[in-house]
Amino acid sequence: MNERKKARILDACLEEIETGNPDLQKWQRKYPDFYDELCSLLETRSALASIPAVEMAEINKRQVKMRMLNSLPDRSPSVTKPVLFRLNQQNRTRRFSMKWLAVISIAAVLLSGGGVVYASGDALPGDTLYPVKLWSEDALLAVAPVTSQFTMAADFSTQRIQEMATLIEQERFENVEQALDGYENRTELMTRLVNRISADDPDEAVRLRTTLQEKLQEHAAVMQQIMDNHPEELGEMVQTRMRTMLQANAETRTQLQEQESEALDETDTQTQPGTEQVQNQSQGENKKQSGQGGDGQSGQAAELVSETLQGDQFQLVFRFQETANNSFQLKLNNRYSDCEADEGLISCAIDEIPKTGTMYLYDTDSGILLFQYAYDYSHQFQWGKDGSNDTQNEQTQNRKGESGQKGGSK
Amino acid sequence: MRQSSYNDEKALILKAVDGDKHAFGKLYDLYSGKIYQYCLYRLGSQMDAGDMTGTVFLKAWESLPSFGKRNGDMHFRAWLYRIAHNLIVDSYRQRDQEPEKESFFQELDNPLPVETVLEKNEMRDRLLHAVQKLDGPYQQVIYFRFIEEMSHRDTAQITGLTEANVRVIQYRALKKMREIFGDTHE
Repeated sequence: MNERKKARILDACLEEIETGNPDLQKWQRKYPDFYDELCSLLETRSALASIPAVEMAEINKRQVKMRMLNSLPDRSPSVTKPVLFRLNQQNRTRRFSMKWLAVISIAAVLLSGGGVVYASGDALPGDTLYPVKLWSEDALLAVAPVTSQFTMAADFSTQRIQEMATLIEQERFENVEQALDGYENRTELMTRLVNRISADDPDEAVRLRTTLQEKLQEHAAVMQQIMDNHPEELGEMVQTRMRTMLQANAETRTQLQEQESEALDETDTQTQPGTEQVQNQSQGENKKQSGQGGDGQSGQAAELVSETLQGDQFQLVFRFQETANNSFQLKLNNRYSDCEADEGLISCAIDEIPKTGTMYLYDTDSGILLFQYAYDYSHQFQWGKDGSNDTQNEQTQNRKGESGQKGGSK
Repeated sequence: MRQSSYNDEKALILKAVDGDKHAFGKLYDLYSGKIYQYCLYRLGSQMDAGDMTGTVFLKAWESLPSFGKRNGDMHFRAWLYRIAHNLIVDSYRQRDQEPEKESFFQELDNPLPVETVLEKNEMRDRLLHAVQKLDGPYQQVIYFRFIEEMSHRDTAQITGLTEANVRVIQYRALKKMREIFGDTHE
């Protein structure tokens, strides 16, 4: 019997199985020489069908979704740029169009004697003069030196946040999204400029990274406040975008901090401008820790209040004000553990943790990162021969969460 | 798929074609799990599979208008798999190498829910190893026909094979699986 015929018989038999009406004896009678092989093939097929589905962790699924949605370009000609995820991408087309915008803006200034541009200074998204305001910003950026571009972009991004707040005050919720677009645009530019400068002037890049982190932290606090105070009015789409942006914001700050730590590791330098946060950590803490709150704003991030190692189990307790009705997960070296929350405390227990790694505490519902910490417990605990410990070790200290966001609220 | 679900899906697709990102997010909710699993089988790494899933949906968003013009000759799910397949093939080309076949199983040492299931069933673990050892087209036909339980037509559309080829390859692939499985079993 040739292969094609065997394939046809197998297929016919599979079809019977799929319709729920298999008659194996019929096949045995018709093709006795092929029957044993047929049975073994069907057995393999049946085993394959029983392989359980491999699911993506819910939190990862949500994160991928938020990033994906945030990166979708509009289908209309006004393309919203994907924000902070493409940190290292060079957008030449954009730069090219920015040059043209500069030319148009300068032309506008010449034609109007500058009056229109001046008048556009207070314009808000949705106003007729608002595009002129953005063009004039682009024109200024196009002719400024790189480091000045960074300072200007930082100012412009803060202006977008202020515009958001003003729009909310004026109850012009339908225009908030346009301010968000502008904010993304300017923060993306800041990030790109830092990356560009770091190649030529690492010291300056350290300073700019710190400024960027501070700005992002300030902006996150304002956005969180807007979301908390106007959940209904903003609408689901804007809320989702703001949540995504907050998460991107936190991730960018984490990346910036990691870059800082890497720079410190590489150069082993003494105190550098902008690295005080790392240098000033208390003794006994690993210098890679990025769980500092940046500007130390209290009540805006989770705090790690105790770490306990007992046998193979590690227990961590965080303090976080808004635990009601929320669920939390701790991610540690790509492993997720559910945590229990009660009256402002979040308790997480993990088996067999490595001595070093990075832990992340998430609000499972919103996907917001509440705390991040690159730990090194090699010397903080007495580990057993196999990495475990017979006796209980406990460290109690407060560590501010990195994200600086008031997560957990919807 | 039930008719009402199909209509819902169709409505979401139409909205997404018109630029409705919220509707596209719902399509993501419906199909990201399937696409992730496929990417994981092909790429062997959870992190790569997650990234690839996001890329597949980005690509789908860009190409949706052309999908809307196809007059329903292909299911949306099959079309997503096709995108995933093409992107994965491209990524192999760029890397100029096959994925680390073992890494998938190394990653399953993580305490994911599935791992506990797999650990309890050595037979299934060996089957997964055997699937990973198959050549590309065999692996795809096995995946779509028997793990995803898709029709010959959908399998053919995704893989670019003819339906007749799918029938022959499913026979060869099961036979090969049996051989590999027999080898590891001995």
